[in-house]
Amino acid sequence: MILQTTNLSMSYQQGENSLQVLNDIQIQFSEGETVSITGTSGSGKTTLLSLLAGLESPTSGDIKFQDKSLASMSLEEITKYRAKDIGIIFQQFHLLPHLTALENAALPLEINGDPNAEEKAKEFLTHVKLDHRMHHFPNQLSGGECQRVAIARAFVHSPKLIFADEPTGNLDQGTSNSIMELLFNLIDQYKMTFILITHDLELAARCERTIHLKAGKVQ
Amino acid sequence: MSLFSFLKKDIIGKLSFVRLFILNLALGLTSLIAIEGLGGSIRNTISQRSKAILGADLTVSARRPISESELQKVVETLPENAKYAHVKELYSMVRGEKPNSRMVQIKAISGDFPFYGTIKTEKNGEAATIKNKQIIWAYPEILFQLGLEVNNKLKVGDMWLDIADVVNDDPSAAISTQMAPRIFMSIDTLKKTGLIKQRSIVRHKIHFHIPNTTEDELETIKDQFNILLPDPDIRISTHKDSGEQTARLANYFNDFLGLTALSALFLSIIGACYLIRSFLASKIHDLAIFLSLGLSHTKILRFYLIEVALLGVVSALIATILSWVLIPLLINLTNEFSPFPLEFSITYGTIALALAAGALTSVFLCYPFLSQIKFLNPNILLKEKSEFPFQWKLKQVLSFIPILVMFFILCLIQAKSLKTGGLFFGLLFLSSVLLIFFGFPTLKIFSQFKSSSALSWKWAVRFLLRHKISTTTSLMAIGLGVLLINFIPQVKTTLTTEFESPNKSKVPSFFLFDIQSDQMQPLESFLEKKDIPINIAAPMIRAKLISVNDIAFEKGKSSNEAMTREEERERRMRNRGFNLSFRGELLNGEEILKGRFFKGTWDEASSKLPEISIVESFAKRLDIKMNDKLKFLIQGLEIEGVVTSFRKVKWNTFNPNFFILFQPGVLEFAPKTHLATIKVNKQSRNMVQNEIVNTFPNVSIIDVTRLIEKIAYYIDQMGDALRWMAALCILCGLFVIFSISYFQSNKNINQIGLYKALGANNQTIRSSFSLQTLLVTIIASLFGILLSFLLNFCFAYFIFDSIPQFEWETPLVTLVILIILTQAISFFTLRKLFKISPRTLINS
Repeated sequence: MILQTTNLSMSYQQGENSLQVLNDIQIQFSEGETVSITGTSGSGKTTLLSLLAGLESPTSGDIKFQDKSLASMSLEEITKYRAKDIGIIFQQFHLLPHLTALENAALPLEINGDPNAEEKAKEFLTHVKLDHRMHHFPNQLSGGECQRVAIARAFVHSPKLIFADEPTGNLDQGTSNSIMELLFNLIDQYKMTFILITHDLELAARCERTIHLKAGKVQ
Repeated sequence: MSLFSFLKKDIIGKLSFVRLFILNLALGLTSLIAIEGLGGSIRNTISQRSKAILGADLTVSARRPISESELQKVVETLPENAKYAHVKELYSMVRGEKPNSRMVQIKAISGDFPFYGTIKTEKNGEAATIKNKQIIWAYPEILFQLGLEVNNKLKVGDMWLDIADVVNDDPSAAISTQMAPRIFMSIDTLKKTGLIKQRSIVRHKIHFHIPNTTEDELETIKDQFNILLPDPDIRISTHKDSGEQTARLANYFNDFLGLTALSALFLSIIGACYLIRSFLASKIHDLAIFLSLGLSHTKILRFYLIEVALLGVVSALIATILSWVLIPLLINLTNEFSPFPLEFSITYGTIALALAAGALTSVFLCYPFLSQIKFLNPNILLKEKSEFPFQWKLKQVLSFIPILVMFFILCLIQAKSLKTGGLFFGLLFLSSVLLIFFGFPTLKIFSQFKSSSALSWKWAVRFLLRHKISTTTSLMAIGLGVLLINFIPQVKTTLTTEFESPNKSKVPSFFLFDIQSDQMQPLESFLEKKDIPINIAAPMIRAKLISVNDIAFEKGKSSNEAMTREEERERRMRNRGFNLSFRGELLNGEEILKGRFFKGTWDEASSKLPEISIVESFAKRLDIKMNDKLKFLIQGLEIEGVVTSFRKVKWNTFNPNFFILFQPGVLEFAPKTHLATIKVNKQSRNMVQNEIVNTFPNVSIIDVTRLIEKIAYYIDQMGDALRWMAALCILCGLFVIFSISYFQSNKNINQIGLYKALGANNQTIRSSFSLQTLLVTIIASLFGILLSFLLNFCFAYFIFDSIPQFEWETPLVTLVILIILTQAISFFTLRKLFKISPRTLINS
């Protein structure tokens, strides 16, 4: 098991009220597995992803990565987990606007102290067919191109896990198809564990397993 | 929804921006309103007291006796109920029965003077009692300095006079009476003292009381008098002129403080520009939503202009309240230079002006940014990422003109001088341009110093270089802040050093004046016996300039017309006689700027005119050029000369010097008095002074050491007020820097979230942001410090006509404080952000 959750719950305080977003989630992910998490808006998909990626801490319960509890990890270890073991693709791309496509893609390698960061990022961008747009800034790229840069950034440091949060939610149908094609090809090629958040059931069906969330619970 | 409730909701929705914007502008306006309030207090006090200051409605004065025929000419034009009284003023040494002496100003009065106000004495004596007796009234400090009491005797000239009373309140007291305390006596008594020799420096005055005349009628009478008495030696002033004249130092001081106030306002404007730009950039989606819902660009622009005008008015209201605290403090400090206590007054006019200035400043400074809303297209809502489409083409750059013009006008109003105000504005503008054009390239060069392998350095440099506009704005705001913070202490150093002579050992101990020609030889022998050499002796000849290049030199225009400080100075210059001297060599502290100094003694037989050397700044004021022919009238004899050189004189050497020097061989036989300087050791100073006073009672002595102490005291007092204004300026600068750092940090929230999501540790992120702030702070501060030196140099050279002096303490302290402050802001903002989960940061 590469990742597993135990009694995972998450609630947010809104004034005097507590909003329960996730309730007692128990799921496991095997190494090299592709899993989609589906559900309607507000079902808790993105919150689950942010907990799995160590972007925030659960209210209760635990997440284990390769049998090590994230809750027991120090801040430094969590940071290392995000830097080395995972790659995230956001719906809004979240590229740094002042960096070029190449610099954005090289960021995880730089953070990991790779001396050949730029070379490796170049290779990966060529791989995602962006070799002609490497020195362009995000505002000079189309939505599809931005998402390719984001994909390159997620894969470039060869993490064990790839999280994708509605990666085509901001793209047209044609671009969506090509982006998903690219994503699945890369997953297949690098044999990574892939966790896809989507409300598109057709897309979800391309994964080996689907987990459906409803009102913060696994159905 | 009504406009008001919409505005309310909009303002509530962006409280952090609104708070910073209002406070920023309020701090800048506070200093301006405070200075306007101080100016108003000076004007108000003068207008209330001007008749008492002069003691009359109008006065005619000259450095020579005003003849009976001249008096009759003007009296004939006055109504029958008009009265007049003679007054004479001069400086003289006095001593008590103990062998101590001091210089005093003698005011000899006659007739019904003063017509307005009363000279209050300890025993409540009236002016009438002094006119009939051989007594004097003295300022209390004379008694204190000479160890005397009421009813003791004082030797004035050849006479021992009874000190009948002590003056407690003299409405006509001026700054001159603070340099030498005053004694009152009757004109008859003065005549008997034998102090008025043929060429003694005496101001002869005739004060007129013209009942039931309005201000305009008085001005008409003054103009009439000017026509009837065309002699440039004669000065005619109304009570209003006299009040202005008396408060001249306070007014100058107010002008100078005004410029520091403008420094604070300029900083506020820079800060507010940055804030409004950042605000617009952050509100791009809200604006696009308004546009997509069908609201026109013009309506949005109008809405925001109303909003910023409203914020400006609120800023001005806060500033008015803050200035209420500051004005009494400034009044207190200015009272040191004012001969009468200033009364606190802030008029409705000042408040209205402040509110209008707040609204206008806010609208004018925001307009260039807000007007760019027209470039916004609602289709950005359909794009994944969008930035505000700021465009800086000629038209947009030109939209800054209203705020620049407004600031320029404020500079002129505050400095009351085209030269000073223009120079101040020009140098500030030039500094901004220099920071824009050189700050960023310097950063680029700086960024190459360190190896690019350090991740935090790489991120910091990349961020700064890729955000050119915000980096340039930060560089400009911090740079200008540092410039203005440092400029005032630099100028203060220049001014203080100017007065505190650089080589004190060369400064004379005593400055002797009013020495008659026949006293020169005995004085020299007297001093020689005491082994005291005369350092420098200079003859002084009183003259009237009657023509320049054969064109009659006319009296200056009436003072009731609005005048700049330069025009005022020129009028004073034109309306006075001139003191001439002659010598064949330059003194220490003198240099020739143009032309050449005299070639030997003038040869009467040659066809050439005698040569004249003039101090350059003086020549400029009177518009005299090289090779101009000047004709003077000396005791009825016309003497002509040609200007062959312009000189610069370092007055702080305290050597006797003159604006106009003649070549030797021309004025040797003209009636004259002499000036001389001597250096006496500290121990025998009092004894020598007393002996000179005993032997040569008409010779006046200025104790230069005491004078320097007095000047240093005034400079210190000015320094106090300046420090308060500088503190406000610094507060303004720091607040602007805080606003920028705060907005910058908030702008980076998303970036920080992403770095964290990608696995960057807190230390790397913290170092990167610290380095960003550090780089901008250091480069901007270094530029600011260098520019403050440049500005100080320009002001010293062009305005104060002195050698610039620099100090390093303030620049270093500023640099250290700024680094600590900006690093602290960055540290605490990041500490707060590090507690937030990366997900929240990314989504914020």
